[in-house]
Amino acid sequence: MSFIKQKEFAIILFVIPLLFLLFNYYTGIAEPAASELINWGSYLWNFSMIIGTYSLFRVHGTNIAKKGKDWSYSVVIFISFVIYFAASYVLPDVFKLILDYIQTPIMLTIWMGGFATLTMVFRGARTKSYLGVLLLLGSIFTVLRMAPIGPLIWSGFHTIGMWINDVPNMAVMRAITIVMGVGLIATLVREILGKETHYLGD
Amino acid sequence: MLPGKNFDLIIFLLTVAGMYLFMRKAEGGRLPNIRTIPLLEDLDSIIGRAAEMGRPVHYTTGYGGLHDEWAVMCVAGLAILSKVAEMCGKYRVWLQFTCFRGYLVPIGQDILKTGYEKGGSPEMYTPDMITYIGEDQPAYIAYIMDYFMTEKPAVSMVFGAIQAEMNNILMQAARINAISLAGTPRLYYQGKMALMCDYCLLGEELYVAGASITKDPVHLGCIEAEDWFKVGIIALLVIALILTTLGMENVLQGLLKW
Repeated sequence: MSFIKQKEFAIILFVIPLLFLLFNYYTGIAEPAASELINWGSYLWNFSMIIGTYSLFRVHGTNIAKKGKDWSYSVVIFISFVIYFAASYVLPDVFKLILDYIQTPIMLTIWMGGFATLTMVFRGARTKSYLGVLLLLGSIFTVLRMAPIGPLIWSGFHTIGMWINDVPNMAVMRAITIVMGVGLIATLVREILGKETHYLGD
Repeated sequence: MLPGKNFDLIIFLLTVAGMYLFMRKAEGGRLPNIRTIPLLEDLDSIIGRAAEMGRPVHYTTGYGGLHDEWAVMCVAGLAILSKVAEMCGKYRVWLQFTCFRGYLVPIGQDILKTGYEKGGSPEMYTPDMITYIGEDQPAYIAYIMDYFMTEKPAVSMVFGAIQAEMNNILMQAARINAISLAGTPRLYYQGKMALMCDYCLLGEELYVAGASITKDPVHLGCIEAEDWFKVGIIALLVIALILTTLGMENVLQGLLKW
């Protein structure tokens, strides 16, 4: 068994810093050290970029060499990478131009249909059960509360919409938040005790 | 000790102790009873429908990965994926797994390969069943929407830490008349799931489904401990309600500021 697979190594890397951060959270007496520890997360993330770049070149380089599936897209990736990398260091203005006028519009295209995105819930709705109908009615009231036309049609939309938002919505929101928190604590306990044997474990 | 953290610490330590005890209990063979979840009960017929139609099944674990606060949801999503892969192997159905994080690619390959082997069709598995688009949400959404329109999967499954992509995936599934299954404990998507899915796992049902599929005593013990924790929370709420009604808010405030 290699050194990196040994349990002691995982304990030093994960459990001790975790307990240290918990200790600082409750006592607050090791704030500078805790901040530095958190910063190390970012440093490690940057190191992973090197591995990521190597993997990218290896996978796409092999694909081009073997003329594999959609190998032309691999060429596009290489060209894009070189242009981005060179422009960011040599021609910052060109890099900004690419970012502002090519990448951002492409990324925003998927979100452009704002109305389409927001109405997807209604278009995809399947009112097969009474719960579905109830939810659909609730969402209609909430939308009409927010839309300027709602109170003009009937003043009750505002009152009912507010009640839905403040009472059932708030109660469910808190319940779900508690459930999420407990789930996280459960994972933490399993990790600290070394009981997590799935993909988060050793 | 920082002021306002003592009560917090006591609750935390009690939770940790409770979880440890329930884990030990489950490891000792006393597993909790978990109610049947309709989605898991019907999984057989859902995959069977895809086999009859000769169309693939699409699966994704959403935006969250294993490195963030949503890791526990992603793990549960991967546990369900292992079951789905086994069923797809059994019925000889193509399973397409789209992952948002690069490190999920080898994990997905391992799960699908093992699943198809368990299902009795190891020859069906190919690495092409796992797609990684890059860690960019619009690209991820665009790929899935395109996949749905071109391949027309019979079943769409989204289990894990899902974010804005849920709208697009569920809507696209509805457009192509695919059976839509989803599950996440994330707050803002509960209503959408209930409204847009044929089967959904609301709230912590995702954790429960993941644990009951793996039958891992540690996870099952944690589920039981979480239930008792919730009983404790309800008891605290009742105590707070009584104290407030009796005009003893100061006691409550003092406890929280301790």
